Order: sequence, then structure tokens, then C-alpha cells
Amino acid sequence: MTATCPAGHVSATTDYCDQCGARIEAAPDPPPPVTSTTSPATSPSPVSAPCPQCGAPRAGRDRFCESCGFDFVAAAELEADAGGWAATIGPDREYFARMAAEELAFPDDERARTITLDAPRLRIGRRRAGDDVPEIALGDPAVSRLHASLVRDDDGAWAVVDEGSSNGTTINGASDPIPPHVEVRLADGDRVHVGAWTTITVGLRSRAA
Amino acid sequence: MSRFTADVYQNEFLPLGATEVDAVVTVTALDGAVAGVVAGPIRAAEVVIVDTSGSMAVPPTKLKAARQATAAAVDAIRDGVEFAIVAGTDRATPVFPAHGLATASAETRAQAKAAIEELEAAGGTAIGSWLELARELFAGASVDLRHAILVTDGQNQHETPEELERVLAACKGRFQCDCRGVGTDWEVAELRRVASALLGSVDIVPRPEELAADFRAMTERAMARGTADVALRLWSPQGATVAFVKQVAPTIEDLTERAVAVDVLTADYPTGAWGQEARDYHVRIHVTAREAGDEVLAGRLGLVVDGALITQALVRAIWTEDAELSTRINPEVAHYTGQAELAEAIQEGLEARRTGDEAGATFKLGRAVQLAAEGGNEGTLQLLGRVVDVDDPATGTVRLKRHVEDVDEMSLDTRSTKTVRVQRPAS
Repeated sequence: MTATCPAGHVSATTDYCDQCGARIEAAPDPPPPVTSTTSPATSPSPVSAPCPQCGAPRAGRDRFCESCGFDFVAAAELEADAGGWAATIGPDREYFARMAAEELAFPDDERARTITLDAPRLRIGRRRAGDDVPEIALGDPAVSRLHASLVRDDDGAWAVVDEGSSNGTTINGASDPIPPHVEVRLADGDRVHVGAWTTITVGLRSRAA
Repeated sequence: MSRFTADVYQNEFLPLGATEVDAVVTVTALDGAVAGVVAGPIRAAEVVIVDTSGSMAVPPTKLKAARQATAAAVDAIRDGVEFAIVAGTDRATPVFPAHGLATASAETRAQAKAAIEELEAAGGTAIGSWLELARELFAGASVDLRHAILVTDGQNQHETPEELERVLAACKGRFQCDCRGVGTDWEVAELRRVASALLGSVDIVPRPEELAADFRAMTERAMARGTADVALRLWSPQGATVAFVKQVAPTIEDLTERAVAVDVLTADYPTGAWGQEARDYHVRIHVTAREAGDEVLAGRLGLVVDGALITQALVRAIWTEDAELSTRINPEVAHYTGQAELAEAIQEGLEARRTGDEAGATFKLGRAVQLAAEGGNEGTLQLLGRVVDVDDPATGTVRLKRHVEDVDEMSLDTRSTKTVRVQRPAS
């Protein structure tokens, strides 16, 4: 018995391709027959799709996932608005553990949020009361007032530049900070770490969520 | 013939762009026949090689202990097993029988022990010539399992390292050999090379009087092995490279260089004979990075027993943007990464100590203490405690001892590759 993998290889193994290792999907089940004729008014409340981030069931039409804080509404808006880049900003327990800032408590109640990268330069830092800059405001106590910026190149790609912050900026779990005042190009899915616990994941809109 | 199972421990989730896939695979051989295979006692051959070089006479208790140990090994050889005793100096001499192998029985065992009583110490040490004779003896036997025990008290002085390498290459895959060093005049690295090439263990026997019990145990263990020839078979996809395949429990043994290609994507790694036991392997494979949500098989690990592929375990890779998933640390992989680093830290630390690099030795042995404490290596911690004074095991703060017994340093070196298994909560 052989199978054909997504890349078109004929494989003697039927679970994964014996050439490229790609998963070979089982033949899809036929769609279930539509038998329901119940009117929407009498149907039970719709079952929402589970959280795409952690898989926990979504409670009714809640905006945020009860388990991981995923923002369903923002994600749906982003989904509708195809193309372009977005950033998901939130506390990151793993990064916090690496920083080992023992005198600080991890903000258990702070939730991740996703924003559209809709300006050529978005500054990251702590706002003074009453200010509306920097654009990406963080409550993280180890973030400088003007810590770093996300900048868009002419070709549409994004980069991060550390603005001479006190505690530095790192990328993708690295232990060494990036040099200040130098643009570092970001790839889809890259993680930018600032302060004591904040990770900013940037990526194409359809995936940044 | 045993039944085998293979279990995989890994975090299959990778961050985007990542290419390195790590997994620990536990292979367990259980008692009981595989369906369809006729179980029967396997035929075995045993050769005991005992060093009778001049140094074995100093002190005289050493040769006496070697004689007793060899006799104890002979007693542990089952009826019907083909066996021989070889005396090693700067050449190899058959002790019993005069030619070829004898079939074990009450009578031949008594004759062998009488011949062993006549052993005298004189001459040099040429380990390669001893192994060469063992190879010739085994070549004439039609058996499933070929096992040798080699005991020496000195360095390989009467042949070049190249000669020894050449003999080892010829002996590889022909028989397995457990090696023992008596006293403190032998070289750990040299005996480890022999044991490693011949899929055997190496250990130090600090006191000659402990030799007999050790020989008996080794012979009994070899006799109890029910499966003669087991190899790991690893398939990895096009474009992937196998960074390493290591045995990580019960001891660390890098198998990467032993790969025998089966086809362009598959290689076999010989592991020798198995009894009822479990061994852990750590594999690291580099694969081509894929898109978020993609899943590929990074490795298919099978076991080849007497030429038949009998079980398999899957090492997978799934790319995700979810840092929660991709940053999870698999406890088995983390544990054995630490155990491998522990063995390295001990060997490098002792090397630094030998070359007079006190700072380097303190740093490496301190790191070793820290890793041994974290990993639960009680035995290794005790051995380390005879080489360094430990101020704080948690931070690895140590001071080199001013005076260290040779036997303590060599015990630590020899046993540095001994690991402990992952502590799993009882379920």
C-alpha cells in the first residue's frame, strides 16, 4: 500500500512521507448530512470555536479567552482585514523566568493584545500620565520611557531598533541584547523581548494572532 | 529472544525558523518471545583475557586475585557454552584449551581452573594482540553471542596506538568486550576506547580482591542476554542531517560515528546484545524549517533484531507561533542534556587538573558538582567529593583538594559516563 504526500511523493509509509517526512492526511470524511431544520430563534446558543492559541473552549461570546487571554475580537478584526503586519503584545512567563527579576511579581492578570502595525514607526515604552506617546505603551516596570521602536522599511518589511534603553532589547529568546540605534530586520513570527516580562510577537496579520 | 518497546519523549513544537529537533527514546527489552519467533536458549561463546604481564606480580596479590577472578568467571559459564582462557603479555597465549574453544562442562571447567592456577607473570603489554587472538577464537565458533572479558593493570606499551586501532577495526561487530582495569597504572582513555569500540563496559577495580565478584557478575550478565544482535535504525527525511545519536542511559556512549548506511535516508547503529533491560537514547536531527502549522516526521526510529525490523518510534516536528508551546522544555531531553554535560565537565575538569590549570579544573569540576546535584547523581557526587571540597552544590562552589588519591581520580574518570535515569513521578 502506498500513499501520496502533499508534495507529491509516492510513499510506502502512509502516516508520514518516506521521502520528505510531510504528514499524510487521511482521506477527509464526507461532510455530515444536514438534517437540522430548527430555526435560529429556538436553537441553543451557538457553540463558539475554541481558542486558536491554547485550544480551550470559548465561553459564549466572551472577548478574551479565559485560559490564555487571547483576544477573539481583535483577532477577528485582523482576520477580516487581510494582509499587512500586526503585533501581539503581552506578558511572557518564559521570558520572565529567564530574566529572573526576583523582586518583581509576574502580572498574572495582564492579557495579551494584538495591534495592527498601521504607521511607519511605532515607539515602544512607558507613557507619562496624560501623554499619548509612545504608541505602544507598556506597564512593564523594566521598560524605559522610550525603549525601542518598530519601523517599517520602504519595502514593507519591519525592523526593531533599540532606542538606547536601560535594560536592552532581545529577540527570539537570545541572551545577548541587540545593539542600540541599529535596525534589526524582523521575520514573520519573530519575538521581541523588552523589560521584565513583555514579549512582542510580530507577523503577518493572518498569523500574528 | 526478547520483546521490545520504544517510547519517545520530546517537545514536538518548534518556533518558526527553528531546525533542531531533540528527542529521547527509551527502548525496553521485556521478557517473552516475539510472536512468530521460536524462542530458545541462544548459543554463546565466552573468552576471558587476563593480563599476565610482569607488573601483575607487583604486588603478588594482584596475579593471585586475577587467577581467582578468572576461575570465578569460569564457574559462571553455563554448560554448553564455548569458552577459552587467554593470557596476555606482549603477545597472547592460549591458557585453556590449547587450541580453539572448549565446550563448558564440569570436566572442562575443572581443567580450565587447573590451567589458570599455573599462570605466571612475565613480559609486556600488547592489548591488540590479545584481542586479535580472541577474534580468531570466536571466528571458529558457530554461535549467536560472542562475549569477552579483558582485565589489565597497565598501559598498552608494546604496540603502537595505530596497531591497536587496526585490531579494533577488525574486531568491531565480531564480539563484545567488557574491560576492567586493576590498580591505578592503566590508562582510562585507552581502555574506554577498547570497550567503546567493542560495545562493552569499562570500570575500575580498585582492589584486586574485588575482581572475582565482578568477573562472576559480568559473565552471568553476558549469559543472561537473550538477544544477540540489536541495532537502532534511524530514518530521517530528505534534506535532514542527524546531528547525533547517543546512548544516554545507563551510560553515555556516542553512537553517531557507528552509523552504517542502509539507504540514503536510513542508517543502522549497532548496540550489541540485550538482556532484560532498558536503555535511553538522545537523538538530535536538523530539518528544514517549515510554515506555521506544518508537521513533518523528523525521524523514524526502529529496532533491528537479528535482521528484522520490529518496533518503531516517531520523532515529530510541528512549527507554531505559540511561544507557550514551543518554549516548553521536555524534562527527559533536559535531563540527559545535563547528564552529557556532566560527563564532559568531569573529563575536562580532570584533564585541566592534570595539566596544572587550577582555575579551569575548579570551574569544570564545580559545574560537574552542580549538574550531579541537579540530576540526582548520588554516586558521582560521592566520587567528586574525593577530588574537590564542596562548599555549595547548588551553585557549584568547590575547592580543589590538595591531595587526591590516584584511585579516586581514576574512579571518577572511569565512571563519569554513568548516568541516572529521569526521575518520573510515580503514576
